[in-house]
Amino acid sequence: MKPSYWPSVFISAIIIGVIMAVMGIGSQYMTISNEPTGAQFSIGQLVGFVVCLVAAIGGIIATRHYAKENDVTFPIGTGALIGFMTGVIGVVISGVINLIWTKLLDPGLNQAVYDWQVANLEAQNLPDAQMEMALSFMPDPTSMSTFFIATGVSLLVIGIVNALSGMIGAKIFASEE
Amino acid sequence: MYASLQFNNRVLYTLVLIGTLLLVIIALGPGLFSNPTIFNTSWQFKAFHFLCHQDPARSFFINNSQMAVCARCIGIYGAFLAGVILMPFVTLVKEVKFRYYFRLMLGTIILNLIDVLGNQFELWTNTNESRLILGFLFGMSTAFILSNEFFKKLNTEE
Repeated sequence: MKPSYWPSVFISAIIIGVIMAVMGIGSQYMTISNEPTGAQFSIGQLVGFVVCLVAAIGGIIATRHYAKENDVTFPIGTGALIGFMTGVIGVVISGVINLIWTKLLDPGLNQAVYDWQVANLEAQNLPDAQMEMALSFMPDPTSMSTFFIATGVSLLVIGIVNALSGMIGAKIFASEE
Repeated sequence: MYASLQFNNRVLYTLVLIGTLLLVIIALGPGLFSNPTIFNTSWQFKAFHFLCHQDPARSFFINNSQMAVCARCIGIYGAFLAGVILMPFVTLVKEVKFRYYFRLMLGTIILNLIDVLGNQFELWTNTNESRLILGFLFGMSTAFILSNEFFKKLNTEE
């Protein structure tokens, strides 16, 4: 019987979940610490330059850990499953950290980011109609539905990307070839 | 003598194809649905928030709406999808061993790193088109790594 892959999934999910949460919360603080100038690209997004694609490597980390720790080979289908579970659990961990931070530790953070975005739009000197339309696209920062929509789409996309990276990890680290 | 293909892991291949297609559709952003939006507020942007820097200056636009990922990333996802679709045809033309595909992928990673670093240290200025092409090479080579798992070339006597 093959050993369980869950320890590898959880270790990798914790790694990417914590990195995503730190990136997300950190970029929000970086954004509000700067004056809104009307620029479309905020300083907080510079975080992405440093850790671009970091959320995609969960599948590779998990499959490598599982293969090396247990000295096993497994098919790419198992790699896809390991990667997908890593991505999904990673997003959940990131979401829980984010929720704890923005609801308990710093309840004003989401509102501050929203206010910054509104001020940034005003700095662009948009016509009234365009401004009204732009504001209608901006989700209410305190609403839980906003949080669940953001987490839901991240679950799907990061789950798929990590399933793909899990397959590649399985091919590289756990193939019988 | 003619060649035919053995198709393995059909369910997984179909899931990979559907999943990648879904990724590309989301990555193309709200402009694909002619849905005007302001930067970084649509669900497509939130979906790729942790996977791409989403810098408007380094992204393509559809219907005046920025794509949800940068030029390099849309190259990666688009080429991965193209690679998945082309896998059977490529295998039919020439079956290549995994280690060669792996070296090709490492080569494209190094090419992308050189491009990023060269631009960062102002040795040259890359463009959205050059980022797209280099991303495309990486995405395509990554997809081909998996081709031997799905398709095998069989030589059949007539």
